[in-house]
Amino acid sequence: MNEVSGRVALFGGVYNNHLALAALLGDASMRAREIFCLGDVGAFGPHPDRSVEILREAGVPIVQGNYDRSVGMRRGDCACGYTDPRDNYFAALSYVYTFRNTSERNKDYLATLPEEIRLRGPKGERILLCHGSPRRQNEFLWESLSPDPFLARLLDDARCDVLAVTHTGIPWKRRLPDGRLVINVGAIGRPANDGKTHVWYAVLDLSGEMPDAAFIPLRYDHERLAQEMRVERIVDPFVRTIETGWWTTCLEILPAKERARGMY
Amino acid sequence: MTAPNCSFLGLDSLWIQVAGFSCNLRCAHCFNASGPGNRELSPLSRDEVKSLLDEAVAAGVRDVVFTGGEPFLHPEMAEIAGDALARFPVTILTNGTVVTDRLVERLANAARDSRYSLEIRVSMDAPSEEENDRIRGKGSFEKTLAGAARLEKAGFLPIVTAVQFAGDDTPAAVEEFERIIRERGIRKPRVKFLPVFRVGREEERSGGYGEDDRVTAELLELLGPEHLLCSTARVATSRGIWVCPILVNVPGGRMGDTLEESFRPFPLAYGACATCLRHGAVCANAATAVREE
Repeated sequence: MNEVSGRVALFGGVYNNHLALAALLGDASMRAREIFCLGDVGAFGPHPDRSVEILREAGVPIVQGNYDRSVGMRRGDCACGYTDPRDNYFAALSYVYTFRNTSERNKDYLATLPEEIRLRGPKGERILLCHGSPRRQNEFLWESLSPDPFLARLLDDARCDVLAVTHTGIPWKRRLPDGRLVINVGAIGRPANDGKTHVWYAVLDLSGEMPDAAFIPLRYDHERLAQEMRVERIVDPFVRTIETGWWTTCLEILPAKERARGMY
Repeated sequence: MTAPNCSFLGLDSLWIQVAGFSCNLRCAHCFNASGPGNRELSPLSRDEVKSLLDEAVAAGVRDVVFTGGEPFLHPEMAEIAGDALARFPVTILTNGTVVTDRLVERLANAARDSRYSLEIRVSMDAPSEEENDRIRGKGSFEKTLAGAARLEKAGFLPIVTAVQFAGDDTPAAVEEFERIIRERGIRKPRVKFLPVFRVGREEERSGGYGEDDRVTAELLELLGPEHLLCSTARVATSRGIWVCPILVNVPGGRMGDTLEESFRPFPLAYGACATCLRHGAVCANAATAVREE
């Protein structure tokens, strides 16, 4: 098992946003000794191979997300876990684009990624990195739908003290009454439905008395990304999210509190 | 043929039949035949719900769902919702016709004080007054939409829940509902479809299930127990713990006196189980539903 200490950068949900990914590698290398990706390299953005290749070249360890698994296994859909026909309609658009534009070599690579990565902190903390939840790659852990007793059960079952996930696209963290820590690192592929164009990742700090996490806003050339998306004829609602910071699609999966904060 | 068992994977959702079967409407398709004067189940007291919430903490529950009958006929529903929201995300299933300004204000306060979501699911069955009221009773269309609008005004995002009589849950079918909801000033219309369950009053109407409408071991193996609510939920009532909201009061659906006793596999021996498995994520909100790939 990998021993880690000091600061560890954790990010997820690249969604083909190769510009944010390149910005992240620069930003995170100044803040942290090690960097881990929590999965979903593909989705809304342009040129899927670019993101996979940046990650492979940098040697970033990646946890497999549902998207990576679907693309890697040559499945017909993203297995995002949506249940509403409107959500699934838009999910299919970005999946078909990503699938068609990912090379066979990169598909094979995505299929080999591990579903979880376990790390050991300096005080023996058991750290688990996964995509959705420890029990299911495409389970959504939203802040307003994750009560303490439920999180404690997930951590008990997965035998960990620190759990880091992504999949939902909105960052949050929770310290459980017994001191254990849950972090949703958010996504670097699209803004967090807050009307701001920057994206988020997390830095896990293992140097203090207890592990803690900070969320780092990441700016990148979002106008250039929007331009690339238009050239690739990616549908306008996805482009508008990049330009405005408000989610325009796949909204039905949001719980009431998270949905109420957004524009749509 | 022996019915295949659905494994129990842990209690994610605790349903509470807080109002028993008491309802102000008598919908033609109601799967548990709720209505005025139905006293087969009694309402639960606030203290009874509190002790269920204690059990839910021990079980590591993810969310609590209040159903009936009509939960808002319970005089302490707002306080009970507040008790639950202190510890869990909460969903209330309502017909929307008894949602007063005073009630909405109390609910809004409880929702604001919680870090967790309060979802209100409002039942309607057709996007036209004539069709809807034929099923749900005269005047219910207008009253329900007025209730939903009142909820929206207080900051809620009601989920309009419709039984899918037309058999169509495409984006176009959703848009029909969205249009009439938007007309009432609801800016973020949310719509969920439910399949028709041919049990309860619907059984009398449509003749119920045939003997072949059953879950086969092969289909369960293919889709997995995650598609069935009974793999991760139980329903607490005045008459013990039942396997799922559809089979409350159906002989064989009772799982024990306590939650702990109910944590065991369930034989999928009913026609309704086949509907549930085929449809998937039937009773969950979109956000709590988990579909295995």
